[in-house]
Amino acid sequence: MIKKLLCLITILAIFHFPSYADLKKVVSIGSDDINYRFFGVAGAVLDDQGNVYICDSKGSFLRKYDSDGKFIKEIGRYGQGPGEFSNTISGLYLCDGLFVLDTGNNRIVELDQELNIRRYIKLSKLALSIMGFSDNLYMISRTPGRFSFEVGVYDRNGNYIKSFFDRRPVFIERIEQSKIGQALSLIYSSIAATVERETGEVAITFQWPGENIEIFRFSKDGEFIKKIVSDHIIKYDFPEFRLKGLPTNLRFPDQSNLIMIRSIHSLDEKRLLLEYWVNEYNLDKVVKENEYILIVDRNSGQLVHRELLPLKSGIADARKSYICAISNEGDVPEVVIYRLDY
Amino acid sequence: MKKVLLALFLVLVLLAAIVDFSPASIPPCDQYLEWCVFTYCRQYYNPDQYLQCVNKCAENYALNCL
Amino acid sequence: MQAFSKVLRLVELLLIVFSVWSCTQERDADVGQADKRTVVSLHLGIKTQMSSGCSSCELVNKYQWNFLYRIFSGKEDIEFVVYCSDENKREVEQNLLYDVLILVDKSPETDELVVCHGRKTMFQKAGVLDMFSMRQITELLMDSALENEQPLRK
Repeated sequence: MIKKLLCLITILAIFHFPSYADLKKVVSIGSDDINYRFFGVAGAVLDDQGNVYICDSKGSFLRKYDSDGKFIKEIGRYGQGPGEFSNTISGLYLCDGLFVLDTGNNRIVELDQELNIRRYIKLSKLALSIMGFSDNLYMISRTPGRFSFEVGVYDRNGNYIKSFFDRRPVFIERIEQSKIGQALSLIYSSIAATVERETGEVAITFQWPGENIEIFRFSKDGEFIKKIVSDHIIKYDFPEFRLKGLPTNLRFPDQSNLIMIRSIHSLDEKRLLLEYWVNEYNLDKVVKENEYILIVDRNSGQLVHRELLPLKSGIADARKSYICAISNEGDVPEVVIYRLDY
Repeated sequence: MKKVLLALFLVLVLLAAIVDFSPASIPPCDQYLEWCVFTYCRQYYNPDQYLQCVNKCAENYALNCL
Repeated sequence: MQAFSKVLRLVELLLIVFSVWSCTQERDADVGQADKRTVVSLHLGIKTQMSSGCSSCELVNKYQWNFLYRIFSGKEDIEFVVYCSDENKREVEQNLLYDVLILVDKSPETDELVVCHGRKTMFQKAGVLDMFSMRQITELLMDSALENEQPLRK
């Protein structure tokens, strides 16, 4: 009898709490204390010692915290001069120094890990995100004259070297060629990319996937290595009606869903992490939303592990077993570090 | 004297305000769509809210830039 | 067209100056209390057509303002006033914390935060409030609170 009861409890437990049992909150940063207060976190990265660097777009500042989440230093204020940031910071990256992509000021700020500014690098075009490896900086930007995106390779002084990955998803071809259609094809061809810290390999995926998740692997110099394909966790076709633009006279299907891969991160040489949102709709209303972490094998594209993310957030960085998530929702924005053990 | 000081104060405030009157900058049309979609809408994590924001960007772009 | 918008901007600036000026004048009648009260006011800026996609996007200083309110509103001598247009009222009621809401006919181009202590304007800033400004305001309000020797609500 007791055995049966235990068995039942175990089964219930498995079915009730399997979702994020392997995701442990390590540190949470964000409160009403002035040194821990954020107004709109734009990026966060982890270093090898577990320190966290956080840039806040609305507050125009960059901060460093130690691995226990203790405040160490802050720099920045709003402006265009030395030591100042705009209020449209697009990204933060750590690679032999910190790189802040300050879109509003049209420049990259390079700093050491003590938050001392080394130099400013002028941007030649609007970049959406920044990455780096060894002597290369990588930036995602729009391909001139085309409705697609590319990864640009730059040297450490911001001089353009070359571009690669000028593709767009197959479903984009079906878009009617109106002005609004062109604007939407730009949106739906958006990409996310990551750089492996040890090898410099670049992995790129479409943010709005079609029937499968496609991940394209390139060497650090932009030479194509391999395309890997991963299955969706639900049966999914990219709903055509979403490509039509503003749903003014549109009749929505009874049931549909929408998937977005918000970001991709390299955990190590074997594994990639995808930030994977699924929204389920009844007509035009969202009835269910979930955010997952998908871990896929870099060589086969096979799903290794999946985990529900417990808060409405975005993943800013991931390194080995650690995941750095940003949440700007609720009264107090916060940055949470998780440890993923599975 | 009081009036002169007041006038001077007003001029100074005006000057300071003109110099420091710096709202969040909205880029010109050739950069608007990318900025709106990929910088501005980034604050919305949920795909539904993000897509609403993105649609609004496309609408603004179509209305004001095309 | 550009000259016209410059004139408009100047008129808006004059309105701001006037509102700050009136902020000091209003306290004249209130002699006993005037020197002790601190009024933190947020003059909401007009909507920017190109910038937004969603309902709460206009409130660019939402987190900043609510942060100040949560930290200092427990203090009796600090009052939080929001000035906004009628069309922003609903949004303000849903998103911002405040003691007093005042509807105005004309708004500045961007948000304007003003701190008045008694008759004196202690702080004034237009646009998005960065952390540097927030530290200045927090220190000001801390001083004001300590001066009046009342505990702060945390």
